[in-house]
Amino acid sequence: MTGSLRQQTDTRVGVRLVDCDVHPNIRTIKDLYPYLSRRWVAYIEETGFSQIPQNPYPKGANRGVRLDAVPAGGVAGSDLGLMRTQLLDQYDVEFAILNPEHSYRLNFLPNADFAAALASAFNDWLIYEWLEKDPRFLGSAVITTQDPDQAVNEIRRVGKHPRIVQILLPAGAQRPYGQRYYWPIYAAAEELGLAIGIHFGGTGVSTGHPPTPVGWPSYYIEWHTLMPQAFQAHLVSFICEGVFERFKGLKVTLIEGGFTWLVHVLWRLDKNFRALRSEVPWLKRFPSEYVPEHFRFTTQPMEEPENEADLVAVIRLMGGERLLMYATDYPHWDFDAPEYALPRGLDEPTRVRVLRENALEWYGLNGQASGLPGK
Amino acid sequence: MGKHPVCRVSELPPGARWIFEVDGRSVGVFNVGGRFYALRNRCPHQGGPLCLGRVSGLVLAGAPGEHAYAEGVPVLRCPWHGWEFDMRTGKAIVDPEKTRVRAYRVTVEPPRAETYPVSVEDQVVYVHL
Repeated sequence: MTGSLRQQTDTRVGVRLVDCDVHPNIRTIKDLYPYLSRRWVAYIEETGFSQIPQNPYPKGANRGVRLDAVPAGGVAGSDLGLMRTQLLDQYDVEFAILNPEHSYRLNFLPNADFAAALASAFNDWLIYEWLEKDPRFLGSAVITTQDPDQAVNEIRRVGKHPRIVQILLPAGAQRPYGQRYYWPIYAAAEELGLAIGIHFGGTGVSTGHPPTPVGWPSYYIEWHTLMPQAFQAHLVSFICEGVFERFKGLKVTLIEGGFTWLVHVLWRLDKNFRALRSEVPWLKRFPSEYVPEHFRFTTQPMEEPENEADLVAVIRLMGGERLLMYATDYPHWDFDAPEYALPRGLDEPTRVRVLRENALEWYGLNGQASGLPGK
Repeated sequence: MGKHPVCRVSELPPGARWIFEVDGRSVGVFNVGGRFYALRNRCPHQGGPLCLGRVSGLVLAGAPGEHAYAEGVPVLRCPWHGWEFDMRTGKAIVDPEKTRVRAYRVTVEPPRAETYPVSVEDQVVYVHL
């Protein structure tokens, strides 16, 4: 193959972007060795462990990544230089929030101590090999919830790093995230000013539940399409369990889980609240009223209806002007390019808020010329 | 515009592709099993570099549970989102009337300046823009 790898598109969007979902990747598990104790390196070598539990379906086209994002002989997302060229420089990204590939699926390793050790290794790898190499990078620190005490320790260990802005969890879970089992994690995150980022994936993995309430669909297209079910379950759980009455400063970012469903879910939930309030008497407001303060939604993969005006209308209905934050999902196959991702017809203030300002506010990045957020 | 020489036939064997720029446009020319195709290197979806994508046949089914693979239909899949395009027409496999990329005619001819006969390998691949 010959010819220019340079993109042919006009990538001007006129706004310095904050990209809320970018995936750096390890080449092999050995990349984590410098950050693991001898005990766990020996364990990996002795057992031949090579793969963190995988999502359950082959990923359709192009093995799940942008083909042009695969470095020669390497793994997409593993090359800092290529990520700079292809993402940060190409699109004038001011901040990119890194959610390390695979890391959140450590939540489905049966061995809680091994999972916690690998999570710590991922976080140190993220800090030393990415965050400290480019001031545009911010990071999500992964935790494993098999043992909430270790998760809290990990939040306290890395959460004070100035470029860690979020705690990373998968959409797939053993139980809905609003339940009290998780509250020590939220107490630590709130105290350190860290958002809880729940990322697409981890449904139907290893020790987890089937990926839908009706069992196992046959195809990746179904699994990918239905991922919002998990996000809906968590959002309703957070609200109904009263998490935000207890943790009034807690922020939850729903990453790659869609957003047009919010209108449906909140209409239904608010209606039910009129009749069923006494079951959750700690709620002091309509369920929907907790959302603007406590949730944000990333845009990718953007829904693409035939008529773009329909999407603009739904964004207005859900309050997307404040709730949506742009993301590319680089280097994955369903990457959204900024000059195409948002529907035409979105008013300019909303477009700027979604591409940049909402994320600056959410992660406390305003006025931080050094690239260090004021958490 | 018009007839644009790309390379010699010997430089574009089956399975190979050549991506070139002309008049500010990037175009890919492909040899798929001895047949030549040329397409604009820009996916109509989000502007991805379409001609860097995989070339395959077409997966088909007459009924649920059937799996046929038509080797004879050259399909190019965008390297970003995997959208499929019929390389013969530039039309997308899904929603072909509304989703298409520009396809160009390709011919193999002796170099224009040559007045003497040339071997087949030395003939030139032209894309008609």
